[in-house]
Amino acid sequence: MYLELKNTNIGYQFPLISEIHTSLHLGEICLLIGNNGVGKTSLIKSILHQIPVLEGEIILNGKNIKKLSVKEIAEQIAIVFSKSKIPENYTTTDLVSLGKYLYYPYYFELSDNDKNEVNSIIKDLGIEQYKDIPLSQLSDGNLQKAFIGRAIAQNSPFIILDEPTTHLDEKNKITILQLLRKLAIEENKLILFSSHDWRLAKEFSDKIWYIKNEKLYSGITEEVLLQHSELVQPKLFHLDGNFVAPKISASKFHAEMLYSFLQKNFKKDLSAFNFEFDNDIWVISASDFQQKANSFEEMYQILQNFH
Amino acid sequence: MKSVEKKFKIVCLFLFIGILVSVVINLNTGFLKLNFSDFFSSGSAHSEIAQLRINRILVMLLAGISIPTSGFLLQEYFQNPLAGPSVLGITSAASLAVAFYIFFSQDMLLPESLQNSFLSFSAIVGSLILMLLLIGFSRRFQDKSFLIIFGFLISALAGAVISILQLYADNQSLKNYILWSFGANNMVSSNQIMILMIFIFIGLVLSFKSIKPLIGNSLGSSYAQSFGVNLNALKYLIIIASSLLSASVTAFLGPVLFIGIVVPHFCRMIYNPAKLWQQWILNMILGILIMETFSVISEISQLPLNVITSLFGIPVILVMMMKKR
Repeated sequence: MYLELKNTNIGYQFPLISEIHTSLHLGEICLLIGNNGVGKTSLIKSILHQIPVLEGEIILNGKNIKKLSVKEIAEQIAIVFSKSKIPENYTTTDLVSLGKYLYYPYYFELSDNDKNEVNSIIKDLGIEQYKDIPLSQLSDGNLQKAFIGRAIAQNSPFIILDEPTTHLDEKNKITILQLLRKLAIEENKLILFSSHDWRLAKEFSDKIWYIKNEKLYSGITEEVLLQHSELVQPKLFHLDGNFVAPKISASKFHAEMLYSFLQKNFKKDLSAFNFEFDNDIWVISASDFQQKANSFEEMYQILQNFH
Repeated sequence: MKSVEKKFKIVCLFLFIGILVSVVINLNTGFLKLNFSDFFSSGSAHSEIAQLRINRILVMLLAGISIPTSGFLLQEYFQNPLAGPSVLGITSAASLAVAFYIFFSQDMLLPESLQNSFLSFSAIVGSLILMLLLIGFSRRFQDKSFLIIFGFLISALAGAVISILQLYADNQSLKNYILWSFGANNMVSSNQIMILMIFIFIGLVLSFKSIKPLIGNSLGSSYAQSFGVNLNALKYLIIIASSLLSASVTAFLGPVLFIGIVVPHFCRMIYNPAKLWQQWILNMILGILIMETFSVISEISQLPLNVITSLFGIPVILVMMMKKR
């Protein structure tokens, strides 16, 4: 067991999350989810011992974090915060080099070995062409990669990332998530990351920490998803109180599309209708009526005329 | 990568040559023409004046090292280019102490040399008291912007009290105070230089220790902590180092702190601002060059040092900024 939380309460004056009982091993990748304001970042800062634990204890590699110095914690945990000050004059290389900060007692100028390591990290991240570019000129995706590169260069067994995929497009999200998975599997690192994109991120994580109602639920990803159905079965959004859905027989995907189309355009009780999707054609029927529509456009006309 | 390091060495070399030239010129500037022998044989006719000039050069050298270092540390710590040695209120505290001393000693008859020493002594005491106050207060406040507000309030308060003292001071005291505030004290004795050196040495050792934490602080305090930087220790290091460096020079030379804001700026313009170690070295070398040069100009023009630093420093920095745009 590498990280263990025993009966831990997290928060400021009042607990945000209470009685946490959970643990993680090296080589695992864990996704931290929960709505805004439930205490994800506070939990991360508590593990880093940047805010004090209210009750219980957090054990890192066999030692209570209260007994570790800032430096000892830095040797164990590298962090990527969701937001930070971006020093304008730093190049990508300067930023990634900061990961080696801890290993130099006074004078901070990288040795050749460390320089090579920093260069190869930058290369692995695919941002080699930006290595001498000031951070202020990098795109969000590349900036995020550079910050992750810094955390990798720190060489700690445990990496925490707070919202590493926000502001990124789908493709870059997947690149980052794949990179995290690779770090966990190939380098036996423990990765804990929070994300709002859990629908995508869950595909990459072994475990989930799910914060709900001031409690933290943890376990193997699929298990947690099964136990908390609100995560896997997103409800169709109900826009209007008067709207009642008709009977729909179609694939889940088509049914969802029809539901949202009908709800937006007809704020009525449609329960008397039956919609069936058959051979790319919608068949609309009621007790005394049946018509076919090739498209939502046609369907709109038909339903308009009917009423 | 290599070319950057090379550039640094070239810049340093040029500045170094500049320092040598300015020192030689400085040695030859003054009312009297001195011979080469005056500087080496104690028996010669003008050896006392030669000693004075050597002292002047030493003082300018020490001021050139310490004031830019102090400004550099504060600017990096607050990550604010407007921060300088005066931001913590150290100068104001020194000025206030000097004003008090001058005001209350006006009826005492003291030999001039002793007068000078007491004046410097009171400036140092004033600054050190403020430094202890700052440390004491900053224990209660985690936010570092508090330090700036505190410094500002102290400056305002000191300014008010100094005004009152000036109102009731006699002419001679008033003149003494104004002369001190011009940075006019060019007659620093060898003993005073020793004291100055001790202060600056301690200040530089502490500066040396604070450069690395400052590098760690470049991504903000949360990151700094996660790199293993002890933020409280850094705060005290910065307060003590910058106070010692600026207080000691203020005590002997008057508040010549303008270059503390300008030199770090200048250094960032001529060399990569992300490299703090090199920046620090550059600050000291450039500081010495500027102080020696200003000292020459001040000697020739018979204008006080503070007037010279502002008169010549500001146009140069403005031109540099325009060119950069």
